[in-house]
Amino acid sequence: MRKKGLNRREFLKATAAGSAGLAAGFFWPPKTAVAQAPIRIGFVSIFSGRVAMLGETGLKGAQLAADEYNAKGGVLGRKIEIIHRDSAGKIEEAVRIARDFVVKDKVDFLMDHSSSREAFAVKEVSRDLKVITMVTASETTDHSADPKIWTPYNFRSARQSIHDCCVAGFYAAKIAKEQGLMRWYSISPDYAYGHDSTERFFEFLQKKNPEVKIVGKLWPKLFEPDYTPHITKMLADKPHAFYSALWGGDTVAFIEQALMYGLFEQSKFFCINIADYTVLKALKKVPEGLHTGSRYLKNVPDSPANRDFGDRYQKKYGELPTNWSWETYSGMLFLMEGIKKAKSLEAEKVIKAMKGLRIKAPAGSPDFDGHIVLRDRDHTNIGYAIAWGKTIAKEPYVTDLYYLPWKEILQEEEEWLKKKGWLK
Amino acid sequence: MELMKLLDCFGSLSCLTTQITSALILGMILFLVASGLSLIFGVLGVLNFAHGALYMLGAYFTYTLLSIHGNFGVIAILASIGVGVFGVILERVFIKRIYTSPLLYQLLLCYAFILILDDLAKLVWGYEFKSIGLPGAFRRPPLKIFGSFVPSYYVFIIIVGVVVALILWFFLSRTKLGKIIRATAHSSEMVGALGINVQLVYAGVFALGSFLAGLGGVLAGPVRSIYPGMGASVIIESFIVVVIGGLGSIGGAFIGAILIGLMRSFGIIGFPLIEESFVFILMAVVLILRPRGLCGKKES
Repeated sequence: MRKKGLNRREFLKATAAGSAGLAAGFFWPPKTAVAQAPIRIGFVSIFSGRVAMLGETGLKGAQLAADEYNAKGGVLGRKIEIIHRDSAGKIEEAVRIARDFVVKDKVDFLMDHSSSREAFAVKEVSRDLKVITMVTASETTDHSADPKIWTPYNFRSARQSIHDCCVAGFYAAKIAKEQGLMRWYSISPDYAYGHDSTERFFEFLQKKNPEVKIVGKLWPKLFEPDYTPHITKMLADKPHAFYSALWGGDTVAFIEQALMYGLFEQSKFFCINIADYTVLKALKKVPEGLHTGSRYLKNVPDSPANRDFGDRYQKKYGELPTNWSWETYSGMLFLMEGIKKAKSLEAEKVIKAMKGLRIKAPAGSPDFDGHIVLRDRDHTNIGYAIAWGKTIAKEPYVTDLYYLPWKEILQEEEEWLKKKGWLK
Repeated sequence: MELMKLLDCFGSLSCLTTQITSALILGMILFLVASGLSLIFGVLGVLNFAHGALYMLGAYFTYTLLSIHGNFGVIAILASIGVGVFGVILERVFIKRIYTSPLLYQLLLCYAFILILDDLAKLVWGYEFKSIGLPGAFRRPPLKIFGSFVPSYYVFIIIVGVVVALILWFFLSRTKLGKIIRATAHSSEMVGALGINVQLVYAGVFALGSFLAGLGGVLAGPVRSIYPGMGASVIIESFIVVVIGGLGSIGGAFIGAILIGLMRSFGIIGFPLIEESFVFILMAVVLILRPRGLCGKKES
């Protein structure tokens, strides 16, 4: 029969356990002093296939910012942690990942670094789950401008097509007047961004220079490997100049193929996306005299902050930033400064703090005194540097830089929005 | 629609030359990829969806080898052989296991290899797109032919395409090995019964098909962007070529590829907004009027 009470073994066990518990209580820091859980950010993007560069370089930009905050002790005493997943460019996958980030991984914020196709769908997750999403890649104007689909939970640090095209159109109009370029063509990828960019560009070009005539538009499919039929078509139609919203590898392939036919000697080329280091470095020799918008260049804006950002990025990753890198870097700055200002991670408080938030950033344009702003009205980034210029074969690759004051860009945007009925 | 421009083009020797050479350039690279695809399907009965990935490997191998050795001609042959060898390994280790499996298994395995090879390319060569640039010998002003300008590298591609087509035709129809391959396509059991190693024939055909896809990638490398997943841009059109030309027919692949090139190069002159749809219209017409393809054999 078992004796009542504890035997020796049980006593020793209980004593050991109790001592351990006490010791733990003694040595364990009080709850308030526990290192707080990190601020978690769910980063959804494309990391595989033909647009893997989007996710990879975007993540690097965001991670650089996170590491810099962490090196200074984090934000509100909490480290920043980014978790990323690959949507492979599929809308349903991007939506599933965004939901999982919030529901299963318990992230505090989402960073949507997807193409516009997925970004419109992820926006609905953000609205539904009431989670702040920083949109860092979708440039389609409607995303933040159309009041029917707008949600207060979305903020955009990415550049916006309407701003880019306004500068592009005005710059092209100026050159067209100087050089008598009256017959225009376009060649842009056949999807939402290509059409949006081309239509807006021609609107602004013809507004500033009504004599310009559009004589042809070509819409090769995205990732078209061979532009020979398009090039020979333009050689036959002999436009004075042509615009393009081709990007990435498509721009490189088009330029290499057009050079073989001497197309640029016949027609002036205005391409919004040449001035990104991925394109410039992939070209065996950057042709001189092409007109390009700036995606990311160390001299746009030509400020110590931007050059320093380029250097830090290059030191960390052994390569130069892309357009997507500065967009995610800026997105992280907005989020972290918003949290600091709100002194909280609560969505409603951070939203309030980020409305109209003005921060110093590498991308900040000279006429915004090196700042970028999350506009109160539509939660979109303004004040980032946009320039156009002519290519040269060596660094800095683009010269004769043309900036349009943001005051003018914003006026033009407002006028356009009113015409669309999106702004009263 | 710009019908008048199309009619003007038919009346201008310079425009005709430009558009026909443009069609041949598109056609020849397509032919190289599609002929390999057609050959593999004709003999092995495998719809090799991963064929585009072999085209991609051809371009990447050229990119890497050119950084070691500067002679494009030597590199072109080495890179194509490299893809051929890779093809044999792929066939011997994986593809041979599914010859008798339902089509769905073939598609799944090939699709898996598209994803695997794309990711491998990303790991080995990085996610950013690469550009080889024109070989030194072709960095010269375009040739003037009948008042039109044709880049010398494109003339080279056309010549290589035609020569490969002739060699393939000769090899398959005039040599003993070619006859064995055709016989294997017709009845592998009978060929086996004659004491011929059918597995060796299969491996050889897969190597040849892969070599051709690799050669397509090698030739495209200097003028197209190289990136993980670039094979996706040619595989659909290659399948269309095979459908138009007839499954398993090399001559059909040659004609189909040139027809697609012509549809696109003349389509863009008269119908710039819907130029690409002509390729699909052509396929639909062929499927309605001659479902076995232009040079396909009637199923017994």
